[in-house]
Amino acid sequence: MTGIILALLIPLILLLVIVICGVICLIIFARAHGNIKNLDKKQKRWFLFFGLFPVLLIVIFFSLIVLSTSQSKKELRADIESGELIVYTVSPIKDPSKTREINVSATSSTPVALKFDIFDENLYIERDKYGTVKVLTKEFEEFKHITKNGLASVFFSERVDIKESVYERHLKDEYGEFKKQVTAIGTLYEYEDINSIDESGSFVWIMKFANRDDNLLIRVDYRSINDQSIKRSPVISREYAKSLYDLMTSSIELHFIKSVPGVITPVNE
Amino acid sequence: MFGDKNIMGGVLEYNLVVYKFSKISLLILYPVISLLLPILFFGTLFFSISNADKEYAGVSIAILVSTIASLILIILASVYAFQAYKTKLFALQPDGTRLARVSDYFAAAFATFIFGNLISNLLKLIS
Repeated sequence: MTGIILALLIPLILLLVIVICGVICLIIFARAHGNIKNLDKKQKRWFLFFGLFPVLLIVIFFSLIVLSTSQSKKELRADIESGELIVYTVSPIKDPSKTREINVSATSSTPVALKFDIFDENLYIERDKYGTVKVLTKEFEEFKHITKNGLASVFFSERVDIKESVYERHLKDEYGEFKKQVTAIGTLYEYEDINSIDESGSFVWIMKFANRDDNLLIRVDYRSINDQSIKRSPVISREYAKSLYDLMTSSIELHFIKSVPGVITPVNE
Repeated sequence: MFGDKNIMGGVLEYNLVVYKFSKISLLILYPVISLLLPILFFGTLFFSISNADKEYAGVSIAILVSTIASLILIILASVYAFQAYKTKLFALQPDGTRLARVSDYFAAAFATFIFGNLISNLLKLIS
């Protein structure tokens, strides 16, 4: 909260100082009939002072921003070096040799491996306090840094298997419509989770594995352009989210392999 | 208003009233609107979001007010600029002074900001 107040207050004070300095400068300039040569030494000194002081303030302000950004970058680099954050960079051209294969042991049950060859995207993995493993993509092309608020993410959720009829009824009651697709490895449910307030929502795809008690949840979050409540988060269109989903799902391959439970291992690193 | 200098020359009294009106309106309206409009806009937006107002009626009104205010400001700035040009307000006199007073410099600065804003918005629209 203090950070938000400071972030709002400092630019406001800076703007106020700049406006006051500008007004004083303009008054001095007007009194000299728009000619600096008419100013005496004292007036010239004040004119220069009020003219240069805001410039100095702006330089200091932007220097501080640059310093703080570089500090954040250092912290991010330290996170990556310490292994807390794993970043995967994938070639913009589909190249099988550069494809990252990640073994994810999300639960104590059967481990699953994911194979990604997402074009021009950075991937990283994080595990939240509930033990859910998320494989997150970079938010945007414009966002050069990686933040922990991923746009598209793959969740492994630990769930006890429930009867399909019960599950389908739940989806129908909760979301109205859903698509069902039976595949060799399990059943795929697709539905759209729309937040009624601000048109934000997600596309959700759940793969219910056959004879398994965990599900693969693919979730692509999108936010309305009008959603001002999440200023720091990416604001994207539904079309963008959908296209990203298509890009992502078209290149995900699922493999069932054995790995050590609880350990995330990037195979090709 | 103009001291012992008759800047209007043979121009009608009507022009003097227009000049005075546009200048005073600019001096009052520009700082008030440029300060109040963002507060009004963000205030209503915040209010709409916090009340889960789907229609965003407050925001629509704020946008309408902002558009009308911007139009009024552009008209006032144009009238003031025309009068200043016509009366050679900022022309250098033989004694090295100008007829413009401190308030005229402020009005001219505000008019410049308004036109600058208008041009930048038009450029954004084009691009």
